[in-house]
Amino acid sequence: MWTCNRVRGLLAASLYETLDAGDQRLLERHLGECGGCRAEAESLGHLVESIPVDGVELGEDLLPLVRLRLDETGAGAGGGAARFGEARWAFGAVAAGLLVVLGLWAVTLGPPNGAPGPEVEVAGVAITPLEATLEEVDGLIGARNFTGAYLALEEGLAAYGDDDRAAVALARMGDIAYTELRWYGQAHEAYRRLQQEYFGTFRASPEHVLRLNVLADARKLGEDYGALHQLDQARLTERFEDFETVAGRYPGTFVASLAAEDMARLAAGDVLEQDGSVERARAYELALAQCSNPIAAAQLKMALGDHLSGEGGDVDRARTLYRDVVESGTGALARLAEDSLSRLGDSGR
Amino acid sequence: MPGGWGCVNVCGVERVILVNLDPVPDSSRLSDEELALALQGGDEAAFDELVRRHQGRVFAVAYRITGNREDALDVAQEALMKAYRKIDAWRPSGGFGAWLLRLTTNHSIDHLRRRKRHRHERLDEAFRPESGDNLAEPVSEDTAERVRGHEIDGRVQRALDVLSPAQRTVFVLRHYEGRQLAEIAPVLGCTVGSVKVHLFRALKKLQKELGDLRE
Repeated sequence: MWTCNRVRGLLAASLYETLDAGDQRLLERHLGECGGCRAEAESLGHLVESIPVDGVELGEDLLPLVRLRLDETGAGAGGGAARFGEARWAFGAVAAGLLVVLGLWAVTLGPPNGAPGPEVEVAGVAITPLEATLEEVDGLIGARNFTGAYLALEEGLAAYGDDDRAAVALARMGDIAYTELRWYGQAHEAYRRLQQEYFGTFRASPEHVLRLNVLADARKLGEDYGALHQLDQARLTERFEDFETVAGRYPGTFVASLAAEDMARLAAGDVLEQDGSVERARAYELALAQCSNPIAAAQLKMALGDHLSGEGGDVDRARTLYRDVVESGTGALARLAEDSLSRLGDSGR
Repeated sequence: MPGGWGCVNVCGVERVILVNLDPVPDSSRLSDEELALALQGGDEAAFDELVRRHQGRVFAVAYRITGNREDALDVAQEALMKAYRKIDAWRPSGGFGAWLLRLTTNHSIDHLRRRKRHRHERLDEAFRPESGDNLAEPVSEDTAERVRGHEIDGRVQRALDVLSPAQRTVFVLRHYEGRQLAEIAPVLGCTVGSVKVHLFRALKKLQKELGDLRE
């Protein structure tokens, strides 16, 4: 039998929430046997009902003061909101000038119904709707209003999807979502559309091709693109072991290969300062020497092997590294290593 | 028409003329998490939107825990500033609102513990029924009901003073903010079982102070 002391917590919780089945049975059994706790439950229940949950009004806007205090402590972005406001006004001034010019141009037009109108001297610059959007986006990005920039592109594309500049707008939307906002779902969608609808533009950018691969990989690992967010966190801490964790957790993926690159970058950092230049291979070797996670080490070996079998120019060393990875038995990485050995004409055994 | 453009047809091709100077799109439909990610990327406007959305709740929690409007305003500002400075510590896997609540609660508790109050200074002016300053009053429309509500709220707020910081926090978050006990546990850094015990003890103490509330 549960003592009164032991059910008190359940009693309080039951006044606000539904208990799980086991706790509910325990509580009911005890209340059935204990008049004191039954009376307590009723009394506390009345108390809870009698205390109103009315809201409390703030009555003022804290944002200006928060911004001021952030700026005073140097934590704000140099008066981000104010700077954004200035950028908006600057944009407005430019837009006003353009309006005057285009307005003059518009009122001097002849009828648009096919009859040749009088020749007019074009005083201003004619821009398509999406060109105007892209100019607006430049201003918003300058003010670090990336959400505004993204939304402007999204709205512009929705309204003017057939515009000549649609491919450029879509690519920029993907870039902003990927690099500034880290909205990986949106970036994935944008690059996918770019690939499907504007393949020439897509293919012309190795960066877009890589990002689409990275995003597709990360999506397979989790709907929330958690693997990429973990890589982002590692890039914030800039700690070797954090990249090691990412590479070790997602071996054989693009995310892991990016983490391996970061490990090499960090490992080579000190040497870079001293020597002024470090070969890529040496950077990976240094990272390998520092790495304590066997799966992350296998990822580094794959990256080094890929480099050496290509521009690194040391195919024998590459084969050795691939064989190491095969023998390490690290699932997906081992299979990739076997494929790489096959490509080099080596059975891997 | 997005961005306030107008269009004219020039030789069969649509050309744009700008008709207003307010092209900034509306970020109010973005989720908290999207805004928080944007802020991590340096988007200042995202922070502004987050403050607009959450400042009321942040203040309400701070007020209920500290019991004083001036302190609550300070705590609310500090919590929002900390959210800005520490946004990189927020993980996308966790809700932004819950993270901000933890910051607010911790600041409120710290403030409560640091504050040295004499007994006669415990009462916030807003909860004196005769106060002409409606600094922080319950939201209610009918005048008589509002006065009564004000009185009750004043008594409750005075009663909260007798609770320990942990008991007060649990009660405020459960009763006023409607948070589940399982959500409150990580805010306090304790088990759900401990939260339930804190809640029980809070209710018992409030019962002593407010036992006649229904009469």
